[in-house]
This record gives sequence, structure tokens and C-alpha cells, in this order.
Amino acid sequence: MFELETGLIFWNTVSFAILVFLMYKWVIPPIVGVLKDRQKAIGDSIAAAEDSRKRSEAALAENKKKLAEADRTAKSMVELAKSDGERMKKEILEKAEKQAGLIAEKAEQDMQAEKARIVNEAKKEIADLVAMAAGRVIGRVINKDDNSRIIEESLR
Amino acid sequence: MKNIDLDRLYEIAAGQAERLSDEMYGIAYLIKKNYDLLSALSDIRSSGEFKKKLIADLTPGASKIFTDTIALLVDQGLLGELDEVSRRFTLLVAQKNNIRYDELIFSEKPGPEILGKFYKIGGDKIKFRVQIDSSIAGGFIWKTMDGKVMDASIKGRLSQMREEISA
Repeated sequence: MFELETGLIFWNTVSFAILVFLMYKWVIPPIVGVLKDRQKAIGDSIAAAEDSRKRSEAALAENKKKLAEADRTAKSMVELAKSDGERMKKEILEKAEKQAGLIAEKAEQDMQAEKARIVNEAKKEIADLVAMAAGRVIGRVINKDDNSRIIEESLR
Repeated sequence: MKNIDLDRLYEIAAGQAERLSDEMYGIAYLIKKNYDLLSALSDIRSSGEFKKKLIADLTPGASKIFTDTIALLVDQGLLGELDEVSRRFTLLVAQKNNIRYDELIFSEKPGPEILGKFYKIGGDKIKFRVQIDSSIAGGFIWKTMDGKVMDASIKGRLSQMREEISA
């Protein structure tokens, strides 16, 4: 049957107390230290992870910002390219129109000059023909008396 | 142009200076108007003697001073300057004699009546050198010593008419 043995209880108690003391003195502190270290390491890891996450988020935000900036830049470049293209197109058209105008003007001038040249040549040829014909006729019809009369008239 | 002492020539010609001037003017005018003659006298292959004889043949009865002057010009290679020599000598004679030598060109030989009218206009201090050029067709051309020209020829009038038509 169950009976209380005080001596055994006492020694058990003493032994337990010694054990507790020993554990408290030499076993618990290292374990607590290890646990604390472990806790600290975990805490550091968590902090590092948090920090890393924050940095990742910051980097992501920065990347997003840069991406947005790049997008804006690309858009503005496209706009600029489009505007440059329009301007160039306008300039080329204006230049082409101007050149076409100049060519037309030059062609008109050349045509007028050629026309004037042809008219002058025709006039000259007509004048030569008239003078030649008149010379032939006068040469045939002028006699000595006519010649004397012409000379006298010129001397008046 | 090489120098020729025209004052000395004038002294040598003495009383024949005017005749010499007329003769030089006559042959210079003839050469100027005749391309074949000009070519023959300008040809460096022709000898001086040939040139002298050619001019002598063209001017029968010319004065000795004229023949000698032509010989001098040929020998000194100045025959090509005959026209200029003649012009300058005429100016000298004109200056010495206080008279003008103008040139009149007609299409045919003018009668004394016509020439008289020119002398009436020109005065007594003028002598006309008359040339005949049928190409002017009628009328006359009056060239003064100082280079003025009055073109009253038919050829000139036709030329003027041609200019006016073609203007």
C-alpha cells in the first residue's frame, strides 16, 4: 500500500532542490543564453528581413518611379520626334515649294529672255532684209542728179 | 611704234611737205581699203624691194621725197605704221600751214559745184581729201582731222534705219 516515507521525500526534495539549484546555476543560464542568442539572431534576421523587405519595396518603388520616368521620357521623346518630324516635313514642303517657285520663275525668265532674243533676232533679220532690199533699190534708182540733190540737202 | 622724226622729214621735204602728206595719205588709204594689197605688204616673206616696187607701181609720178620716205619705212620695218605716220605728218603739215585737212568720201566723183559747196562751208583754211567709195551708195561722209565724222551717206542712213527697226 501506499505509505509516505518522509526520509525519501526529504531526500528527494533535497535532491530535487540540488538539481534545481544546479540547473539554475549551470544548465539554465547557458540554455537561456543560447535561447537569447537564438532569439536575438532570429530578431536580427527578422529585422534584416524587414529591412531587406523595406529596401526591396523602396527599390521597387524607385524602379516603378524610374519606369514611370522612363515612360514619360519615352513619351516625350516620341512627342518630340513626332513634332520634329512634323516640323521637318513642313520645312521640306516649304523648301520644295520655294524651289518649285524659283524653278518656275527661272523658267519664266528664260522663256521671256528666249522670246526677247527671238523677237530681236527677227527684228534684226527684218531690218537687214529691209536695208538690203532698200540698198538694192536705191542703188538702182539713184542717178548722178539724185546723188547731187541728196548731198546738197545734207549740207543744208 | 618706232619713232620717226617727222619734224626732220618736214624739213627735208621743204616745199613738198604738203604733196608728201597727200601722197602718204593716198597710199595709206589705198592700202587700208585693199585687203590683198595690205596682205602683200604685211607678208614677212615678201622682200623690201618687192614692197618698194609694188608701191612705186601704184603711185606713178610720185615725188622723190615720197619714194624715199616709203623706202625708209620699208627698211626700218615701219610700213605697217604708214597710216599712223601719214596721220601724224598731216597734223604737222596742217599745224605748220595753219590749215585743216578733212576727208570727204563720195560714191562717185563729185563735180566742182558740189566741192565748192563744201569749201564754202569749211572756209578757206581747209583742204578736202576726196575719196571715192561706191559702197556708200550715195551721199557723202565727212571726216574731220580731229576725228569727228558726219555720215550723210545712203549706206549710213540704211544702217541707221536698220538700227531703228531692230531696236
